[in-house]
Amino acid sequence: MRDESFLTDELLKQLMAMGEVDILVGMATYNNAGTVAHALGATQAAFARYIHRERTALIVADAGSRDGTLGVVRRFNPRDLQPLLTSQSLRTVHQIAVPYHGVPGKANALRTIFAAADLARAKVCLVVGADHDRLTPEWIERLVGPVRLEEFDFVSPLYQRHKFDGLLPKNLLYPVMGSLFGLGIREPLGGENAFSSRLVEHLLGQRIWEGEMARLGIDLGVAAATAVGGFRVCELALGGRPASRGEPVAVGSVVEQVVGSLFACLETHETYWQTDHSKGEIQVKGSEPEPVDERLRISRKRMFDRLRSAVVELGSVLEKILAADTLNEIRALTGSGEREIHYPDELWVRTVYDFAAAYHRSVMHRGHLLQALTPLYLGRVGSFVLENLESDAAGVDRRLLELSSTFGRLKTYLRQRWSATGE
Amino acid sequence: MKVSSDELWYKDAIFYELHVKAYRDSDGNGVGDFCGLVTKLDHLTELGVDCIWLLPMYPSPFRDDGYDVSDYFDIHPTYGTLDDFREFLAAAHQRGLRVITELVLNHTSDQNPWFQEAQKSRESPRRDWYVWSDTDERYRGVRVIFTDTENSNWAWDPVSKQYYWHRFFSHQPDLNFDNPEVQKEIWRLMRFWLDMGVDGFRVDAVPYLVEREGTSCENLPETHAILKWLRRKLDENYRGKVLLAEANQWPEDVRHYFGDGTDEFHMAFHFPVMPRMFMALRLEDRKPIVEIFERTPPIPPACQWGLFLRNHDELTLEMVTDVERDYMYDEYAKDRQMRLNLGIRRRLSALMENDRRRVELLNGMLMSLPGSPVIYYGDEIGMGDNVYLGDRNGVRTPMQWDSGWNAGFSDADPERLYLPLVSNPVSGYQVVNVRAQNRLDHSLLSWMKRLIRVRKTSQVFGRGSIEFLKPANHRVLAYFRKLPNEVVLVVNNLSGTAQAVELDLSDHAGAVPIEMSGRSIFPRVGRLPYLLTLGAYQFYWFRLRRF
Repeated sequence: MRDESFLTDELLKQLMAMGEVDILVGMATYNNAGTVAHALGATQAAFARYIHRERTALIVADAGSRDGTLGVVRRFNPRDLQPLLTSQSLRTVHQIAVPYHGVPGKANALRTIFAAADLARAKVCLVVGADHDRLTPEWIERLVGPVRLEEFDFVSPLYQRHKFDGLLPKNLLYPVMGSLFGLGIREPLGGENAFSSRLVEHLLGQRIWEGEMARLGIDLGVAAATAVGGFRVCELALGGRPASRGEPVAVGSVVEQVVGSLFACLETHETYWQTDHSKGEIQVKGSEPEPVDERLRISRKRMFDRLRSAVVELGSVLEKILAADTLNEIRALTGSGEREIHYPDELWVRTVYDFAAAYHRSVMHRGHLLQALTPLYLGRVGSFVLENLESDAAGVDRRLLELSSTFGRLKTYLRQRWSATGE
Repeated sequence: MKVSSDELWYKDAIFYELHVKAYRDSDGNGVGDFCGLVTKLDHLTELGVDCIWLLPMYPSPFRDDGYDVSDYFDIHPTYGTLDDFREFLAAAHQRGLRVITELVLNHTSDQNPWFQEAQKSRESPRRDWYVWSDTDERYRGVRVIFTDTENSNWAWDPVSKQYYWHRFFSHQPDLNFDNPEVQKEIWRLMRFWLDMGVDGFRVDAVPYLVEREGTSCENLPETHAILKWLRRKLDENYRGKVLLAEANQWPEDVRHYFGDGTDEFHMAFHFPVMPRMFMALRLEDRKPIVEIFERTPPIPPACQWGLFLRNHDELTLEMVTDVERDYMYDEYAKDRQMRLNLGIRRRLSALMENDRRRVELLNGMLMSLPGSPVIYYGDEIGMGDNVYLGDRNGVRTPMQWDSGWNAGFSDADPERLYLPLVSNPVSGYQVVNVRAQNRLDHSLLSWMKRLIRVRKTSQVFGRGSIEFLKPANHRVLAYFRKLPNEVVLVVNNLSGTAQAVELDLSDHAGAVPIEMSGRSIFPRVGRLPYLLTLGAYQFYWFRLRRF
């Protein structure tokens, strides 16, 4: 069996004892000692309340926590929940904790969960977050439904967000994934997902578990492989977006990781997006969530300052990456005042595509290249916020559709840049 | 062969429940009788049975299969005479077989002269032998047991113009145990049968004897006091008899029927275990069985649980949760015709879809869990049922002795039989019968004989303690049965696929497991987890021996 090498003997032994299951819930943890008990409790409560007949199991794959996360998992006793539950699972529920064993990162944890699901022949594999306290038993139940009852292969969450929350997915991931992979899902960076057994098996066979995709962000790798494989996908409205209680991460680092993994996806699946595919509608289960109506503090000035200084300081770097027209237009827009600056959709799309092509051609160290995108990204989202200050949520959605359409329209531009040599 | 003189005989005994009408008809009237039963006693001794539990054989209008008794001091004429019964009893004892009969003491038939006399007028001397009321508002909230047929526990008597109390069918008025005369009469009838030689009673519906306002009218202290009085009378006058309680209650409630171990019942059925054995098998998960035993309080040393897989009633689902009941219905009674009251009217083999491996596994658990096993007639050969016969008649069809005329049960015209034979191509008498299975060494019947023989090689199954092991593999149910000088390890694979299991046997390091049916030697137990592999639905009984 192909996955044996990365499964420890101890885990295999536990899987042997667990045997076949219907629903396997996996959590990839990393320093989540403060929140993991909540996730465990919600999952066990879901098993007891909603899926008590099914063979269920919970597997926590840790990516190398140093805060005692696994200790919390091992001490967690589902029996402690009994007074709160009106019913209990008819069956034994296995809860397995898999410690970090040499290969850190979410990719390895996710791979372990998938391998466990595959070995246990789970009909549904859920991957839920252990880094927040929003998970509810009802979320678990609802995530299972589309796979179990409607034969979807991949369920992507739809969270309630502020109109300016999630600007990276909105301005980059959603439109690129939609245009190039036909997978216009609004939360491509994981969260709470459900997978069918055939998708799990397919993903385990993909070359996404090592290399840059695994290092920079496996979630996009999984989403892209799902899209390329032609699996049935839906979105499921869950509720308020879980805010991670993990350590804060610098925006540059996030952009570097996310964009890096997106570009790695483009490389891996080049033959797919180089060909045109019909783009299917993604079904939404449940009501589209109302946007969160609260004040969000965004410092546009800092964003534009970063853009201006990058154009000056990184000029020679950007010249290697961007097409001359693209760079000239960016330079031109930085001359505008803070309240007039406008980074148009088409320019943003060409920026992204230029970076993707440069990444592919390795015009420089890829890390440096990705770092150079961050100030441009900040300029773009600053402009996006400025332009949509007065828009309602529907208006923002319309803008995103337009952006998506521009990404699609300029696909030819990407293809040309991708295959261009010696610029 | 003589019956054993051990007063605790019931702790080791194999019980066999049968209905005389279903066993063998000697006079060709289509109904079994005692003369016929005598001719089949060798089947029981060969099987390894120690005690026959006879379903009601008293005169009765048969509106509840004999549990509506119209005369407690006689035999129903269709079954024979009192002399026939005496001859049967002697023949059974001669073979080392004990016999217990039904003691239906909570209620009588409405055709019983006691009730008819009580009914005549409110001044009748027997009026107070039953529970009467001007209103049906008394004892409000007391549950109705036969929910499919009864709406209330009160029925209107148009003769004396009062309501009478009945916990079961309305034609079964409850006796008034607050009346000392009723108590004395019950003792008189017990003496009648004990003097004849019966070895005890299966006492029907014991929780319901006494009624008190504001209570559930179940398991009341006054009920226990009456039962204790009957036990005292029994012990003062007889030795080696057994009282077996039918109390379909949670184990903590049933525990009270054992009293201090010497003053109430010797035995009581453990009702909640039974559906959980079926549930565990379908779930492929030991959880239901382990949980119910963990919930079972210890019982005094002289007492014993009665365990069964199936009996003459429906597979009762009263002692399960709603969620569990729904699961059982969905898994074992998809056809609504199979459901009755809160249960499933099916035989063992039918419930197991004639899967021999599962039938064997369930019997293996029946014989190795703590208690005395009760086999329902016909289940030893895997008899089928007929759910279309109404009420519980589908599991009360004639015994299948051979593939000939009326399955060897009766010489009557087939149309005259009290119930039609099971004759479907899978479990009908043409293929499932005693004669055929006696000829085959690997038939279910032959296997059952061997299993019982193995059980009888050790008292640990009847008298030992139980200690569950909890290996990580939940599909494996493993337990020790222990006596001070003997340890048996039982390992059951509840799953339909092969399983590996690691057992923590470190407390028995150095012991050599001997598999009890084939006496095969297994590797010596060490300090490390003991690895076993089991085929689908396979089970092992190991005697752990030290050399």
